Amino acid sequence: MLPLIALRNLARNRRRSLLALLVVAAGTAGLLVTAGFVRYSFDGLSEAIVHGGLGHIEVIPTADLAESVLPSERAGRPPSLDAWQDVRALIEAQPQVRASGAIIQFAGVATHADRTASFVGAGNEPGRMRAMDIETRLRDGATLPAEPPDPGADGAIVGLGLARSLGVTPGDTMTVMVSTVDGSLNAIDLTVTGLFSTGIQELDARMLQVHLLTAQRALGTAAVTSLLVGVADATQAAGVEAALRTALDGRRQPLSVLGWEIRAPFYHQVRGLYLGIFVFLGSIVALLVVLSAANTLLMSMLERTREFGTLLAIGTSRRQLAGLMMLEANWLALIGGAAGCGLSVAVAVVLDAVGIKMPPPPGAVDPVDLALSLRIGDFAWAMAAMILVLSCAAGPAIVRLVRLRIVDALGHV
Amino acid sequence: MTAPAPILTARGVSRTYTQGQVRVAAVTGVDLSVDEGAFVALAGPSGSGKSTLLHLLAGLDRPDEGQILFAGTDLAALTEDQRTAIRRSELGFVFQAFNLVPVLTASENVEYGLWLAGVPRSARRARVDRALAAVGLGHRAAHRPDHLSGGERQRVAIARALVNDPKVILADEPTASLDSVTGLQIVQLLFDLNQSRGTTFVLATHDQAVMARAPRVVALADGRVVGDRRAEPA
Repeated sequence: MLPLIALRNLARNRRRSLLALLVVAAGTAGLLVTAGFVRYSFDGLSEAIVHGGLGHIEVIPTADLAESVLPSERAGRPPSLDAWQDVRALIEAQPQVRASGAIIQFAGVATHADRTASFVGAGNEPGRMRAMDIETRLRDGATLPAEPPDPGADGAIVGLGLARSLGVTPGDTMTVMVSTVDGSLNAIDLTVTGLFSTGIQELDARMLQVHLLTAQRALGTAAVTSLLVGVADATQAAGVEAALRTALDGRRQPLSVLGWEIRAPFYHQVRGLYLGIFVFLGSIVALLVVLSAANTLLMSMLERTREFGTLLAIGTSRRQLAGLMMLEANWLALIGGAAGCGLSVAVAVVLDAVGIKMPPPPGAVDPVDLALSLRIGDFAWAMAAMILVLSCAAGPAIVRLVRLRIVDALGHV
Repeated sequence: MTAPAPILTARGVSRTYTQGQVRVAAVTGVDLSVDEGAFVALAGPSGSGKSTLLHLLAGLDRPDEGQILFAGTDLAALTEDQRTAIRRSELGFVFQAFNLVPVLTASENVEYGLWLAGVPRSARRARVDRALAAVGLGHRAAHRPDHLSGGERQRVAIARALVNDPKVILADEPTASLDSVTGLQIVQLLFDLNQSRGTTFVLATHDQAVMARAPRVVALADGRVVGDRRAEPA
């Protein structure tokens, strides 16, 4: 009978209960909206990173990871993956692998007119990159053609920041100087076909891309730095990673298989920042809900002191009375939480319809959509969080109940 | 013929309260024995200690001195859970202000006691109906207390007290909040239940009508027993 009594008790002081329900609903909606936005941002960022050039998985000679697993910090090392076409055949034989593309990372100095800037270059296979769903976000001009360029007809696409530094636009010719694998200096003329953005300012200021064959000619090698792997279903990437480790184990040239997250420290920084904000906001919301609901429950308990005395007198145990108060708190959590879930869905629908843009995250270039990514599990944990929060809020009232002297309570007016 | 055994006994019971800086001796050295099936009125003016003695007899409060025995068991020697169990199944309470749970209907208020006692749902309905019928309120079962008159509320409270077939019903000024006619009806109901069921009743009252009809009246003044009148058996 206690759940029934608890539910009906909420209707005794409707205005106060309604206010408490509004606070719980607003708190739940606040948590869900924040969590939904954080997830949307994470999803968008990981998509941008993976499909912006990093790929789901990278296969690279283990010896090249001595200094760092980060692609941007390996550009000075000469390519060393020699039997890469055999390795690629093994990779592409795996189910779930969409395609694999070779890349060369290199560094050098680029010159245009009287301007010079250092760069980090990536030589890739544009056709295979597209097959892996890795799209360079072109901002001007044209992307690199899939076909290997003829000698003397090499092209490049240049990061927006680097293009600004050099003062190049599509159609311009610039000269790049790199060290070949045998240590000599080589210069090559490149025609700028387009300008691109990675979405990250730091990379845009240094990056250029050329065809794999251009990079091999410039460096004087037939080897590549690594092979990127595109997976058909991103949720299966970890499984593919494990399968590749097994398939590539024991080769003459030891190879490492790296997931995308380990190669994207920027993602972890942003994730850490957003999670910190979420925990901070969530704590404030929880505190406000606890204070508000605790006041409601304590007032409700004090107003019914004589009733509680009567219930104790006729044989209700203190545990049962504590349970009654806990049930009232949990009804508030369930009803208010359900309303909050509905409210968050409504907010998600409205935001989707309106299409608001948010400023870019730290270090990023593009604004992000203000949208929510909500999953069923979010509603479950939000409800669980509210039940926990309201259970805490019932604490002061329960303490008073447990200490109640029956004869004093019966005489309470 | 064997004399009935006492169901409630107070031996040298004293209880003192502190109100601010003042110590008030609510009950002092009270000896009282209530036989099973008896109908006892505790009479006296306000502040004479009637309610305090009733609370002590019910195990709602502990005496500073002396003993309260329920069916030979010292209530002070029991744990709170054991005293709660006795109140749940062996004692019934009727209060001056009815003290019904306002969010429950008349039948639910009565059913609550059965739920506390662990009676299965299937058996509760019939017992609730019987208890309400015994107090003449079968037709008002679905009404909440705020839709009942004072007399009807007190009848629901009596049904709640009766429903577990307790050995003793303790009533604190059960007619004080009622008009005289309704009060007389309630008193008559209590007498009838005492006669028909053999339930022991101990009432705190200053209602002359109750005192005039009670077979035994224990008079209290300033926390002491100052009289114990027993009516001659008819």
